[in-house]
Amino acid sequence: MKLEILRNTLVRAARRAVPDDTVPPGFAGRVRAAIRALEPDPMRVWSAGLWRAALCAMAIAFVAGMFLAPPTQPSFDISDAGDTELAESALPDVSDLDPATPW
Amino acid sequence: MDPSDPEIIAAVRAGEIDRYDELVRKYSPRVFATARRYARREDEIQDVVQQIFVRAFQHIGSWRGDAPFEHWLMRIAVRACYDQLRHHQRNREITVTELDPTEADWLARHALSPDTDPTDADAARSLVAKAMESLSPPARLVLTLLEIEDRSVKEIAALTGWSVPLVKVRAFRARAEMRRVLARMGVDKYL
Repeated sequence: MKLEILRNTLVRAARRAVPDDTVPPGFAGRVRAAIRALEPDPMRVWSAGLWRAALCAMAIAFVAGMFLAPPTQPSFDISDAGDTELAESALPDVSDLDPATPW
Repeated sequence: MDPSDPEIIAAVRAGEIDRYDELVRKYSPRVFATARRYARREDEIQDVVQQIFVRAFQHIGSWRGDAPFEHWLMRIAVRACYDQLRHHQRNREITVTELDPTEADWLARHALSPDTDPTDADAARSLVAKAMESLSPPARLVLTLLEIEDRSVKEIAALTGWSVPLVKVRAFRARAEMRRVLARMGVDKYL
C-alpha cells in the first residue's frame, strides 16, 4: 500500500515535468540528407531492372521450351511386328557370328 | 498564410521532396519531447527522431488524410521509441540502481508526510527516471503514455497498435512491475 502511494506521488511529480522539446540546430538538414541517401542511384535501378527482365525472359523461354519443343526421343514400341522383322533380317544373330572371323 | 499539412504532403508526394522540411521543422519539437521520454542520451534521441521522420517520409503515401498528420506521425514516433526501448533492452546489462543522497532525503520526507507532495521535484523525477529505466519496454511504454502523458486506454491502443484489453493487462502488470522495481531499489526501508 505504501509502495502504491509512493508510486503515485512519483508519477505525479513526473507528470508535472515539462518535457524538453529543444531541437538541435540543423536537424532538418540532417533529416533531408538521410532522405536523399534513400533515393536510388539511376544506374542501380536500371541494372536491377535489366536483371529482372533477363530472369523473366529465361523463365518464359524455359516454360515455352517445355511445351513447344519436339520430343528428343522417338517413341519406340518393342512389340511392333514390323520393327522386329526388320531387326531380325537386317542384323545377324549374335550366335551366327564366327568368333574367328576378324572384324 | 502557411500551407496546410495536406498541401505540403501533396507536394511531397508529387516529388517536391524539399517541402518535407516544413513538416520536419513544424513537428520536430513534439517528436523530440516524445523521444526524450524514452531515451536519455542525446545522440540516441537524435537518431530515433531522424528515424521517425525518415520512416514517415517513406510511408507518406499511406497517409489517407482522415486523421491529422500529427496523429499519424505520433503513431510512428511511439512505435519507433518502443522499438528503440526493446533494442536497448536486449543490449543492456542489468544493474542494481542505487539511490543518491537527494533521492534518499526525498524518500525520508515523503515517509513523514505521504499524502503531501514533497517540494524537491527534481529528486522525485530522478527517482521516476531510474525506476522507469528498470522496467520492461512494454511496461515503460504503457506507464509513460497512461500515467505520465495521461492518455486514455483507447488512445494508447491506437498509438501502439495493441488491443484495448491488451493495454489494460499491460497497464496492470506495469504498475505491479514498478512496485517491484521500487522495492528492489530499496525504497521500502524509508516507508
